[in-house]
Amino acid sequence: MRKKKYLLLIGLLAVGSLTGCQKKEVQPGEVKGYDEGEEYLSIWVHSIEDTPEGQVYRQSVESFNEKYDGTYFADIEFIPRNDSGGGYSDKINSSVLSGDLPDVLTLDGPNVAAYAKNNIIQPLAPLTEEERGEYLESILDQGTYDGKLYALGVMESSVGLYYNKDILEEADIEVPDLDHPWTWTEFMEILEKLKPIMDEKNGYPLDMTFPVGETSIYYYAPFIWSNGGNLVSEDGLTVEGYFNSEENVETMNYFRQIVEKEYMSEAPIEFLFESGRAAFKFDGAWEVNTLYESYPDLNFGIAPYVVGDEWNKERYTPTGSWAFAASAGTEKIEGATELVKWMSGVESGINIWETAKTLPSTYEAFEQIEIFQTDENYNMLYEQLSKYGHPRPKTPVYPQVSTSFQQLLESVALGGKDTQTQMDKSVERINAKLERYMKE
Amino acid sequence: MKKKESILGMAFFGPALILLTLFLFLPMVLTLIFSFTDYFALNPDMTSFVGLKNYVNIFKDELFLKAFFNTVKFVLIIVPCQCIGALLLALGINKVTHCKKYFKVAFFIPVVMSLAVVSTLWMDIYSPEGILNTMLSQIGIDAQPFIHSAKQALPSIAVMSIWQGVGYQMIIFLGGLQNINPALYEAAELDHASAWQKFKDITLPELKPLCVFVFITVTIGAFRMLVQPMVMTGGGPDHSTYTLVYDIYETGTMNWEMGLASTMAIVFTVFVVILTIIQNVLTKGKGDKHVNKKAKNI
Amino acid sequence: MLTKKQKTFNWILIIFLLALSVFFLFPVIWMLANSFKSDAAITADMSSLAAFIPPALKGNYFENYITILTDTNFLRYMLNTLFYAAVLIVLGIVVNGLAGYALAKIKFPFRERWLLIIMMLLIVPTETVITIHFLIIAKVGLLNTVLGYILPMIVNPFNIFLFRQVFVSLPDDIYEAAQLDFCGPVKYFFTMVLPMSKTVVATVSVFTFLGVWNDYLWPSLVFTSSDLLTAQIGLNSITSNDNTTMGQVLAVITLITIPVMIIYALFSKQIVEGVTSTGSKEG
Repeated sequence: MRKKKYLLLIGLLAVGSLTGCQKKEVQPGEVKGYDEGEEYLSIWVHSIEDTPEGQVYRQSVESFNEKYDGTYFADIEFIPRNDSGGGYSDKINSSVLSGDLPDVLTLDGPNVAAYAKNNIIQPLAPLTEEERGEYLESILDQGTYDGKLYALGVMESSVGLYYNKDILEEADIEVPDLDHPWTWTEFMEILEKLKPIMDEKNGYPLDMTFPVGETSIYYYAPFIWSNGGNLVSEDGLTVEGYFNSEENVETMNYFRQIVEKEYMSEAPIEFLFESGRAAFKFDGAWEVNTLYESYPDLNFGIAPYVVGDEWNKERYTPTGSWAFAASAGTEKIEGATELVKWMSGVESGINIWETAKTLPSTYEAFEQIEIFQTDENYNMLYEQLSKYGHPRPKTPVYPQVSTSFQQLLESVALGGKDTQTQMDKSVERINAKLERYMKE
Repeated sequence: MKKKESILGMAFFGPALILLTLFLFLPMVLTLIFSFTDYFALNPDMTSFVGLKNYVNIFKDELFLKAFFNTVKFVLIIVPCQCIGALLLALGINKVTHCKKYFKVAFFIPVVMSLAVVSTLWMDIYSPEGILNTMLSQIGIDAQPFIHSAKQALPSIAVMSIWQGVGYQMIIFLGGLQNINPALYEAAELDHASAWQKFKDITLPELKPLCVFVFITVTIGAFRMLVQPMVMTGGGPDHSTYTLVYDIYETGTMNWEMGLASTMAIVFTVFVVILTIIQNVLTKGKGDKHVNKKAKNI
Repeated sequence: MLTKKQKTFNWILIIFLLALSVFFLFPVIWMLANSFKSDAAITADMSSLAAFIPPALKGNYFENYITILTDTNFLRYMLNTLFYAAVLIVLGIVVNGLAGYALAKIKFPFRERWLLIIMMLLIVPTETVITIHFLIIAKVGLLNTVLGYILPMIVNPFNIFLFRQVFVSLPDDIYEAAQLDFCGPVKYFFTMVLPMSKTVVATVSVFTFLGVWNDYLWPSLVFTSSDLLTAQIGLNSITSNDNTTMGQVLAVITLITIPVMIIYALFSKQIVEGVTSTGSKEG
């Protein structure tokens, strides 16, 4: 008889543990700082606390709670994320299903379209003209979908065309200013000129790679834009005729030429630019700090991004980074918007610069940080960003567009395959993903 | 008595069964159900049944087929090399009279390193100016792109995986070798059997069940290849190291298409199960033949 | 007695295997040696034998390691992981061991069927079930807790299989114990069966430890508080940080491998026996 009871107990425990516990609402007093009367706001960020970025988020949340003591209380959770974005996106995906999204979450800029279209995030409460004016154009652009503002970022980013001053001087090449960048033809000529010099140094004129992941479209889409092309239509729902346009075929062939003429190495070589064996390199804004700190002997500058021969002064430089948005399920949209504004505001921006050396997102932050006025490299990046920044394609199927772009670049430039064929294949793939949005 | 025993058995098996149901059976059933839907992670409410559409579509999908092909390639390289390599090492170590303990430890060291660690380490080793290329240049071979070339990437990762795993199977074989009755060898000795004959007629048949086991586990492991390409090449260059499990992961997590990913997962599982059964049947058959032959001789 | 020819062959084989083992381990040797060097030193030493030799003992010999240990929470993560592994090992032995014993020794309905199912389950890749695990743990409110992390990991078909293989060859005394009151078999299991199967217990413990130690995806989904994170997550955030030097990466990889090496060194005999027995007995 005791055995039967034992089994029954096991059964009850199993069933009970499953059905019982619902997700508990956090009560005032349970978390340090959460007082009676305050509105509870949960926020997730995409990094662990043990990083410079994570620390800034912690600081921002704490200062938010101080400022809004008595009104709001923000509770922050740090979600680990690996290189390919996994971890954090897994968590978001699973939470979408289980209905557990927080009030505020972070997302990578290019994903705004997909999240908005699928009702994961909701438009923010309206901002005043003044408040909007605080942010860089590119930040507002990135966070807007279908005419509504969904997300605001605390960080912006840019990519620079780094050049080795000594080598360029040796080759007698002058670097133009921001408004008159080199055109493709001019740049090709420069690479040609540098080739013999770099051969002697056992290097290459250009340190360029097409890695798998977000980097490729981020760094090289500007070539598409400055050549008058586009990757997707305005509403992000058509790629036929855009992704595989004639202009884009030209662009891809340009990269192929660079590889064929051996201006760059086919297999990536580490530290080529840093060790003085490459004259040029495309790299993120973060690289400036790395070069200053780890390679102080390297004499480098940043040139304006190269443009197509027919460039019409349109916006074309890389932008985009993670932003804060409010989840569709939250009813506390006013509070969430306040939190988003704070996390992406001037003070947070200055902090993110000081601690993580990432570009902030507001004009005032840039003005307050001296180095953007005094250091020529940072100044160039800032000017490039604010004057010519162009967000990545806004489309709900962004992940596929990004991978297709990288694959295209790799197969055409490195693999030598026929551009039009590869492009048409990419369009097919992307169209398959777009199907679900056509059903409406 | 019988009833008491049954209940006892179920009580012992119970906790495991509950957990298995919850964390293995339930997910598998759900995966099966999802595979017939167009479940999109960002918009679960829009899910609807699409019957076999997913199954038809994945076999038309170039990328899935490529992942399939790559995975098979991995298996074809890794399984024979790792199994035979392990067997040879075990035979060698079993035979020598000294340093056995050292050999057992030395070849097993890579096994205790995690796949992520091994992948990170070998990324540095394979780099264009890394230690491997440097050593090759010492003997006059040009620097190789290894994981940066569409042709070399897959074999490079395969070699690394073999390096990581061979020690494990080696230990298994060693155990098996030590369990062979020495009397068998002595009898063969009296019959003036050559070393090769001893190997063919005694060692191999005795090891048959182990060989089958090793063969199957290495195959299954190779099919599940994910971490190495993910860390080292992101599936490239040109999708040359993109595997089935990688496709499942990317489709589900990055593209949010959980329905499609579930379909791939089911196809994957079924395929591996079938393969395992075939292997089992084939090798068991051969094993019996050898055993009978040996029995006739003794 | 070995003939002269056999003795020579023996020594040749030993020397060959020794050389092979050194060559086989060159990546590990390279890793260890260079974990003490700065990036400049690594590049400089690359083209000579110095690539495999640690630098001369200087003041900042352990610099890479010290940076990792003091500037990051890596030590904390390692300790966390040790703790989770310990808990999981105990729970795993209880759950999987009892199940394995039932499959081996106790006649209960559909026993053979269950055994087959267990073996089939070995094929399922974790990546395909992990999302569902997350959903379940989230639904019962156990996210960001140790229990939530451990629960889906306790039951392990492979370990059940291992236990079963070993228990099958134990003497059949369960019947006597079953005659006594209910506590009999349970007590018998813990006080007699387990101690008699030390090797498989050691093997399963080591496998469980490795499983926890090397796990990245699952802990990254379950844990959101910094103080609960595990070693692999720490490793990943360090290696994906652009500012980490190659030497530091190698140092952190070495650090993460050390506990495992220690365990292997201590228990190598049991591990080897356990690994051996996984394949030897057929069901």
